[in-house]
Amino acid sequence: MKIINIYILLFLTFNCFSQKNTSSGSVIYRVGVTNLKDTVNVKNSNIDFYKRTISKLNEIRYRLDFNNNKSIFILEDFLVNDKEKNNFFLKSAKLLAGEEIYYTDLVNNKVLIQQEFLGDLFLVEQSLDVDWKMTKETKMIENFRCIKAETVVKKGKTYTEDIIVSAWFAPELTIAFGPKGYGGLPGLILELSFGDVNYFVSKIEFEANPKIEKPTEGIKISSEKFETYILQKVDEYGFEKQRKQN
Amino acid sequence: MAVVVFMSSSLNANSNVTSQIDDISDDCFEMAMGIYEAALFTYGGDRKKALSLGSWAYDDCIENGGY
Repeated sequence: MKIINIYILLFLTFNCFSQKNTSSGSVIYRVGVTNLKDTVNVKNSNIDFYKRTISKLNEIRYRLDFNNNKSIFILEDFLVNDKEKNNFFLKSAKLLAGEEIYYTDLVNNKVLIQQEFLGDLFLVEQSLDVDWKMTKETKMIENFRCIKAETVVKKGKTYTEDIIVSAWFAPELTIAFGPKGYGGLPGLILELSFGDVNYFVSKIEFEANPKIEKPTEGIKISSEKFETYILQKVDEYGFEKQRKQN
Repeated sequence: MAVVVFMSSSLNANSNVTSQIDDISDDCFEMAMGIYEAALFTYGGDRKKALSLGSWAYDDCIENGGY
């Protein structure tokens, strides 16, 4: 009996040490397009610009570092050589996929987005709350069963059309984070579609203490005031007024 | 008389230069507006991103004295 107890104790001890800590680590995401845009009745120059931009998306990578209650999502430049860094369409692709840094704080239910706009650096604060609608769709991603959730970003000051956001999350990975500050789901988001731009997992690594630093530089502003500022600048430049007149 | 002639040709030269600068500015604006429109289509209607690229294109054009 004593020997059996010792074996049980040894088994439990071994089990505890051998279980992977999945509450912190890093995810690398690649970028692509979900579906090609409908180009009927679109100017040839716009179609050309679009195709040349999306052709560069495969050169872009993002990194999500996370622990129990914080994460940071950031663009990684390591694939780009010096000659390519000045490529206009790579610049356009980075703008399309996003150059913002997203710092997510589950404790305070906030997302902080550090971003540059017209030469100024901003720290835009917004709520982590997202009106997710669960679907019954599931698929396997990197050997994890994933469920699809959806939300809509409504058109308004920043966007001229509604943007559908789809997130495939893995309930087995109980980490409420994902690309572009999206989270709050009962699992790590392994694939996110923002409109027709798709962020999909390339690599997942679990580690003890990834470095997650809260961005502090930039003009602090709420997301509502930042949207108003964007629209103000659009009016000042006059690109849309001229378009309407033409 | 010589002063009047000198001042007139100076003013003309200045207005020619000003006119050239205006032409470059107009050309750059037209080009940047085209980029803004293409970017708005590509970026799914994201004004912030389209304006970032359009304004960059305009500033770059002006710096290089027009395309």
